[in-house]
Amino acid sequence: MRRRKRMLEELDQDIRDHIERETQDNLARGMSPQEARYAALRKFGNVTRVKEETREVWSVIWLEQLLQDVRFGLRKLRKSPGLTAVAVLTLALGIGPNIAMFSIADAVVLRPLAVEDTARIVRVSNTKVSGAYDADASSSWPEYEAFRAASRSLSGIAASDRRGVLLRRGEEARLLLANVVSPNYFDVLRVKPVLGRVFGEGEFQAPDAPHLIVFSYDFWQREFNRDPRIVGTTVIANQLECMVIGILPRSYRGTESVLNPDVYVPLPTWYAMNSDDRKYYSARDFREFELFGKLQPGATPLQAQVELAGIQKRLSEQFPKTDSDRLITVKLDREQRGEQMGRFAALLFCITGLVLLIACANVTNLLLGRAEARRREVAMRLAIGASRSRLVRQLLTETLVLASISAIFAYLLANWVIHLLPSLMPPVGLPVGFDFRMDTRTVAFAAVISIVTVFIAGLAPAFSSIRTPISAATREQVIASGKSPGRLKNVLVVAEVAISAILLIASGLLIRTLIAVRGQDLGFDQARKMLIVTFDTSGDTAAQYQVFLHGLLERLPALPGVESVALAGRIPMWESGGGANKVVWIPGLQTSPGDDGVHVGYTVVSPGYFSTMGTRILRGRAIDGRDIQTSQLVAVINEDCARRLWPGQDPIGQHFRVGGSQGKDVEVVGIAQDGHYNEAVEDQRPYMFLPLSQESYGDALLLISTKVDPRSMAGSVRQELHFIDRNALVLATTTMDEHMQFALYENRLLVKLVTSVGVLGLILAAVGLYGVISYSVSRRTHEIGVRIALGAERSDILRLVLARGGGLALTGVGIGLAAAFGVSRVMTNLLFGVGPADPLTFIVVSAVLFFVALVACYIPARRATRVDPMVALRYE
Amino acid sequence: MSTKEQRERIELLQGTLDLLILRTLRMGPAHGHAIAKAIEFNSDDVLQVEQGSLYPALHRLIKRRWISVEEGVSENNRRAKFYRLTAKGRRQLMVETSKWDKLAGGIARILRPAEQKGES
Repeated sequence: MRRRKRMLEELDQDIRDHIERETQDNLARGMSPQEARYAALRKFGNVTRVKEETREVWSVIWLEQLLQDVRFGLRKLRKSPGLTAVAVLTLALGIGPNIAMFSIADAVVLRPLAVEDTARIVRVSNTKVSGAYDADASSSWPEYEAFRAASRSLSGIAASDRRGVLLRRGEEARLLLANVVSPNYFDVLRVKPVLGRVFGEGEFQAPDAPHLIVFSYDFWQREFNRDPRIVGTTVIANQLECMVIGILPRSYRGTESVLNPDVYVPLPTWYAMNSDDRKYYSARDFREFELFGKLQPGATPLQAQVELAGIQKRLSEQFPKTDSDRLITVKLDREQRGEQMGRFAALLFCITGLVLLIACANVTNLLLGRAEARRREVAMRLAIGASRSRLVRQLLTETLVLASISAIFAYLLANWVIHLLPSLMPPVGLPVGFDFRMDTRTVAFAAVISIVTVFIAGLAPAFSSIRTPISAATREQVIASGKSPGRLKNVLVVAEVAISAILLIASGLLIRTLIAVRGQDLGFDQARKMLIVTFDTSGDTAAQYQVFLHGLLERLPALPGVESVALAGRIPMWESGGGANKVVWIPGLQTSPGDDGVHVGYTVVSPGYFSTMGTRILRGRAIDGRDIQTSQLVAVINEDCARRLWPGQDPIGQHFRVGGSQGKDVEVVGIAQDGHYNEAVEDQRPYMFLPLSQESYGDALLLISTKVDPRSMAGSVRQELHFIDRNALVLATTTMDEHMQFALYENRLLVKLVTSVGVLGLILAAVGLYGVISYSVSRRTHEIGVRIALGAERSDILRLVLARGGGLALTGVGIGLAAAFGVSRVMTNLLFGVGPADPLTFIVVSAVLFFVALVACYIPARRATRVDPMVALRYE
Repeated sequence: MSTKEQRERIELLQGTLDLLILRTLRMGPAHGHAIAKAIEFNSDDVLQVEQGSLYPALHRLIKRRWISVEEGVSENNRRAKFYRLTAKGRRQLMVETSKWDKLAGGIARILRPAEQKGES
């Protein structure tokens, strides 16, 4: 390229010199100066053309032609904006999910651990040989030490366990996900910190070794806004002062792709925080550590496996009680990842690949329709000497332009989906998430997939248009030759409509379910404005804790904006999972064998709980201030519990024993309405409410029903907590609204997923229908012209075209509805408050589909009515 | 005339001109004007091409690295560009010459069929 520039720069001078020389020669022959110059110029010829031709010598022909084709393609696409928009949308919808899938697969499976020598990192899994499926595959600390001491094929083994750590931040606290690791963790998994350093085994030899921790990048960003000054300072974690010595790079997200630990704590520091754990961790049967090893250069995972299995065998002989029946496997980390997610990813790729294929088929239809309309143009170009290969190249370039524009939109779409994904994850308060990145790898993938698209979608239309005979150029309309490849296309469109019908009906039923779930009476007021606070106090004894709780109930109701305040062990559908049970016994109770009573779910509550939560007391009284530690033990039971224990009798004033036939005597003082306690959709179950003051219950939730936006109360509530106990910590605050969002998380996620796939299917079906109909219209332009010439009204033509599209749509909807009947029966267990053959859903979905289908057909149909009979017939 | 035929004819002319340039440079480096003169002289004015068309041809040969360019001083003490045959160009000239001879022979046979028959 530089050579080209240099050569061309001097061309002007060369030509001038040449003419000058010729002029000199002519002068020598005796011409007059003017004559000599003219003769020289004449002999030289057209200077501009010479320059032009010389420049051409240096130009890269294919590149210039490509640019030309791209410009031409852009012009063509601009000329038919409707078709372009539809094709771009379709391809973007086809390519986008594939890019998103790739970036997910990349984050979860493909991208290797961001450590040195990642190809040599192995995972040691330790499972039970027999019996129950053991998902953990973890090892005990004694096993780890034995492996480490005796292994020769591994240059190092590291251990890690996941725990929670309470980090103090001023007057608040954060619950962090910690990786408790062996001191040599970073000696084995070598990670280069972005800031500071990581710890090494050598630092912990002395008994008074410093307490060190390392933060993850994400946590550093989230909590400290990437403040570099944090490195070298001390923080208080689990009441212990620790030095933050480094920040890990963004790319290192622990050894699990999904859970990214916030902090890495070496085991000696962990023991300083939690001295009790030394006892647990040193137990031979306390298997909590995941083990990672680094192979010696040249060693294989199999060698390591044989070696570790041998070490384990000796342990099992030495400690048969705890160490027998174990199976050791060693696998490359890379392979392990592939196995974990490989099949899942492959399945998802199949689905997104199918979406892409359907999108390509649709675009092929669109392009075929346009190729038909362009036959004359192509024939003309062939006639004036364009070569067929050149034309195919040019037509494919047009598709490439289309695919490139689509790829940009697809990329944006994928980016949007990827950034939406975290919001689809359950709000569990753990640093759950994938390291999604839209990086060069995804860009490269997008480029490859677009080129594939060009060939899938573009080849058939391109070859179809160059098969035109040259003679066609002279005719105004070209009657397509050969059999119409319509059958396959019709099948495709019918299938698209049918699939989207199934998906939309599924999504309709799920939406109705969600509405029904939300609308049901859960046994409390889910619409209430309420702040739910989890907290921690410094009080060590139960008595101090009770004093603190008393303080809360006394002081908080006085805050402006507060309606009522209560405490509860848990509230319905709380994230701690299934509620606790107690065995309840009354004389003469029929129990199942082995049980000493019936299991009744329960929670402990403070006075004011029922009014705060909006749970109705049907008979008797609520738990109130009369129920203290020293008074008669009491309970409020729900209707279901009353029905089971005392069918047909008045339970108020009755007594039962809690904890079996030998348990404590408890008096029933009230009956509360039935409710749902563990899940939004569940069967009626017996439940009871016990006074908080009469139970030695650990943690309680603080429930504050407010008159104003509950979030705005968080600050003043925190102040009150600190007023009562200077060291009290607010761990988390949530609102009833957020709590219900979480409780219905699965239902909502399902609705979102099925609906978005359904809508995607609908769009693709509509585009498919549009493509097929407009193709058939362009093929039948001549016929339509004849019909109009013979007196057909525009409305007749409209009906003719719409009938064909409508027929296809009806067939598709019909098949879809029939299939949906079958599918919805299978999903009965996902449905609630709506039958699998819900007529409303079926009618609405059919109507929507049919309407969309008609709109898709109407556009080409209207074009058909505008056919000018004179143009259609002139050249007959 | 289709573009294809036109292109072939141009190619033929270009090929001829290229060959003539290479043959001229076999005698030693020369500047543009000198090459034009030599071609005019050697081909008995049979190939009456405009002198300008020499330049695209020269550039074509440079691009193929059959000839190279160097700065020099011409016979009348003026700065000029000298074109020189490269080793690659010399090889190409041999190939081209034999091709050319074949073609010339073929034309001769068509033009004088009797003589050709007599020869064989």
